[in-house]
Amino acid sequence: MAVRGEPGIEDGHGRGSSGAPNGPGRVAAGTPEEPSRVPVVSMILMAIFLVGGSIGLLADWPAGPANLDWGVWIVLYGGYAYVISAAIFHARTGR
Amino acid sequence: MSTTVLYTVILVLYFSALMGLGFWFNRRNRSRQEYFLARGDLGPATLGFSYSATQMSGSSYMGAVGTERELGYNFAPAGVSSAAAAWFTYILLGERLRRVASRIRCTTIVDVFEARYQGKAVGMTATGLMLVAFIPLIAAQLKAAGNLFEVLLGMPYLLGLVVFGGIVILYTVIGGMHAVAWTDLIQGLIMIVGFAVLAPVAVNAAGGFSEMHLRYGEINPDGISFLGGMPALWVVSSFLVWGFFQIGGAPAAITRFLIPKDRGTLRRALVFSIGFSSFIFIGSTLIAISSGVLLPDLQQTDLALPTLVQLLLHPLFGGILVAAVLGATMSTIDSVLLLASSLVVENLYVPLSKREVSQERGVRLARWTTLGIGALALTVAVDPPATILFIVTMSFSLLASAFTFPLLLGLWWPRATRAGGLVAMIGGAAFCVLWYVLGYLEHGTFDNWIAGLWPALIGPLVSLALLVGVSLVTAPPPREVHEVFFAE
Repeated sequence: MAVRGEPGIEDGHGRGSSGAPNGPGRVAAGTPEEPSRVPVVSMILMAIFLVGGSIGLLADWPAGPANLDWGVWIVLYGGYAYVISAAIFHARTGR
Repeated sequence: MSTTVLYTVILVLYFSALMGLGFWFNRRNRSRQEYFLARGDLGPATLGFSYSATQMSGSSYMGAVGTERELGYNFAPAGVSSAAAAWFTYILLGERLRRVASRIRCTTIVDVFEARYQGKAVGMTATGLMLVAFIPLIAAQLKAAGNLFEVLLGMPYLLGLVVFGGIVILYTVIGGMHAVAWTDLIQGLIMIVGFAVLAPVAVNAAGGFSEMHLRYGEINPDGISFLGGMPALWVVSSFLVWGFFQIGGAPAAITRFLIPKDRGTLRRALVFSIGFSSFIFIGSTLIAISSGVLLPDLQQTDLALPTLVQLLLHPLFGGILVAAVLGATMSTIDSVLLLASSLVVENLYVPLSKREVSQERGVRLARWTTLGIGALALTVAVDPPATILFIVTMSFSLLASAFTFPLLLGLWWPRATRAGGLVAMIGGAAFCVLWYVLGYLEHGTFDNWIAGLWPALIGPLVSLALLVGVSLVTAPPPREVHEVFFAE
């Protein structure tokens, strides 16, 4: 049985379908794929989020608008904007 | 029409629709792979919502609002971090898992471990750890739903449990991953509608955004900023744990990465996931803070959300929100149930029986297994023993400790070896349990840990050290591993 859109997975040409039981780990016939690039920019953005966020949580922030300190605005609400923007960036560029 | 009757009507309509979806997708499941994975059949929205709806359980939904109401902004960083979990997992795991799934025949995440670490011992260990965590988790989710039925509809606990559990188990048995993913999408959309209605109403009732925070700060001065009530390390740990460590802590969600047929689908799904979870977590922060102002004397913090619903919303919207919370519970149960079932069939039964299983028999076997595990969890949920609740408390930490780095380094570091992977899984999980026990000895509770350091942070770090150390002193993996996992 071939899986739609995935030639080579269970199409009878891979080592996995040569009479072997239905277990995992058998290599299918090679499917040409464009090389995937390592998402370096996203990884840097992740490191900034983790390290910057951790430091931001420990910092002593001055009072900000709406009876909240600036830390809540920057690390929390800014953090949401940051991860959404970073996700859109990755979706568009793959970097 | 009374509130209870209106809630009941909405829930009956909702559950009927879910069952209908189960039957609709029944005919699509012609093989075990289609039943468990719906491979290549899901678009970005379905995939993205399904990932996040699985990640956010109903009890953690109510629990998060309750905890945040009590701890205020001390706990809020866990929200932004949970939203970011999709970002970490999609980018660090998603594309690589999708590529591996296109190269080998794999139906479960354990198949990936077996292929990467070349051994049944790794697969059996991973399967065992997951099943130990999953069955109590399903039982706990069912129990939370039964309690909600009891509180909101005045329905006896047992009846609520059987009705709710019966429906979620049945549509999962019948429809497999197709039904699970599509119901996750619907449940996600209902969650958005529910929170979009409740959050502004609640903030407005609490005096508006600025006034609400002023009043909350007067009631709970420690909770108006990140630090105050809880130890600093606790706050930072929660921020790190709920985001990055979901790499290993949420295997039911990351199973979604085995599904997409191309990387474009995966990338677009990330945007749906992160948009959905950010909306929900921002909403839950606002609802939690407003409930602190509006319900200052509420004793059972987990009931903050349903109590607020009853207090503020027209029963029609209240019913929709109740459906949303139940939907969140369902979307976790169905995914975990399906994964548990796939582990039993694919990673225990088929390899141990050493027999060829026809597609027709395979689907039948998968359905019976799903039904069996569901019935087992339902039975446990009738009167869960204390040990079950302890396992649920630590299930996320256990999974994160065992799987985060064996999975991450397995996909990114060619030098990671079979011995390294196995020792890292066992060592990480064991140290996590030890950390809970040490915390219990010091504080007398499993919810407080030495120096405030979360077991889900310390366990994975031990696992990382073991993985790197053991891999460097053992022979490198064979060439075929490199071809499947690292060749372009």
